[in-house]
Amino acid sequence: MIYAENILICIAGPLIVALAFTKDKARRFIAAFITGMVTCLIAAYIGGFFELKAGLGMENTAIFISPVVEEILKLIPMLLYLSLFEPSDEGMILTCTGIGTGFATFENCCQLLSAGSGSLPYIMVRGFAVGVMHIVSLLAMTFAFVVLRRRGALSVAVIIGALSMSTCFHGLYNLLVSSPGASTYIGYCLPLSVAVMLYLMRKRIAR
Amino acid sequence: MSGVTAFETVLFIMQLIVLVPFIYLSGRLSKACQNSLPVSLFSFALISFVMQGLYWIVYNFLRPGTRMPFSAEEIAGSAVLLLLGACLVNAFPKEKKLNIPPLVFSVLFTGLNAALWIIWSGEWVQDIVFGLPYVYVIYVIVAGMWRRGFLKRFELIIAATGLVCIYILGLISTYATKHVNVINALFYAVLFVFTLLVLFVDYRAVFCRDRATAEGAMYISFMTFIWTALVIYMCAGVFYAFANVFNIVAIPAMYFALKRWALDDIR
Repeated sequence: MIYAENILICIAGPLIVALAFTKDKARRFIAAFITGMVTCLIAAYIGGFFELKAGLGMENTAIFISPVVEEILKLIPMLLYLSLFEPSDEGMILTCTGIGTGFATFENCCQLLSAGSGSLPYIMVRGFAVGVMHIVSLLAMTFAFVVLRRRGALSVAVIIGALSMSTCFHGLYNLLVSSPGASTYIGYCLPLSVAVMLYLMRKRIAR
Repeated sequence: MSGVTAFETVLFIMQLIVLVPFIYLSGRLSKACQNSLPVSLFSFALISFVMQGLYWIVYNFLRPGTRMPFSAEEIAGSAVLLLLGACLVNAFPKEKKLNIPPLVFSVLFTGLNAALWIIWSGEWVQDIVFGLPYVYVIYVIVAGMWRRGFLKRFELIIAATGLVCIYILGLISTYATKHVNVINALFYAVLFVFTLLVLFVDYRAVFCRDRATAEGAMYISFMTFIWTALVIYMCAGVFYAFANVFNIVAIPAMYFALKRWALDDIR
């Protein structure tokens, strides 16, 4: 058993203080990072609630329910930011990367504290597969928003469409790594491969 | 993996093979036409559909023979419907005014389907929540067709008769205790013949050379796709896999109808 709230306070404390001494993009990234960590904590609470209510068991909840809950919760601050501040495309990508990174970092911290950090392969998986997956899923959603916002099409349908992309990607990853064998390795390679694809796409989207 | 699941997985792979070129083609089409927004929404709907198919393929490989609980796939399914509806709304902006009779029809029709899904699956909340996108997309399609009078009188009579027969037979087959095989065979025969007729009307409209029918072709092709999606939910076992074939066949028709509209659109 770990006390996730205490871990959050410990990590967020210096970052909150850092907000006072930073400006512009750096401040926005730190704020988004903290938001991502808070989102992760709320997602853990809601995931736990569904685990008890749906009666699917811990493994099935993690595979099927968690991707939906986590992606919806990551979407909420992004939508708020989008509607309140009407950021530029670059600002949106920066903020969403911050939210994703904060989410992944906090989840990794909690997992490492509960499972230990002695195994290098486990650390690699947490860092380069699960961690990257959280950033990639949010970035995929953001890129969809960026492209369709330019055409004046930001509607409920587009939001659900973007959400479907991120939840399916997250769900696919969870499903692939849930069974031992080749599928697990495909799952581990998926986030980094998609991250490279998104990096290449980013230049085209910026044009 | 059972034979039926393997067949189903092959069909999902075929679906992906069909979808990927059309995503590429619709991406190119969006650059070629003046009003690119509906085409972009259509591409986006196809991408969501690919994600849904991919999820099913992986699920069938890793957990064959088990019932999938609520998952990300349901969100993708809803997104496909909403994006197709949004595509039509943006292609024909005049349709934004609320039209009551089509709204009542779409609510009742989806309600009837949702009631059957609940009877068959027992999942109340899920079936009602994920029935809502159907209300929206069916409303958009029916309102457009209603206003323009695309279907002829005899086509409407055949459609209404076919639908009544299908839903009555569906209910009877659910509760029948005697002659179950005969009733099921009759149900699937009527369902599949009706769907083949719908597909025939769809492709006839899409490949009609008359420029004035471009709008009608788009509505009919989208309606056919939605109908084939509903047919999938009505089928079980090997028939479920066959119903997927109809759904795959309906995808190219949507693209060709959209292409006709997009290249004729002079706004």
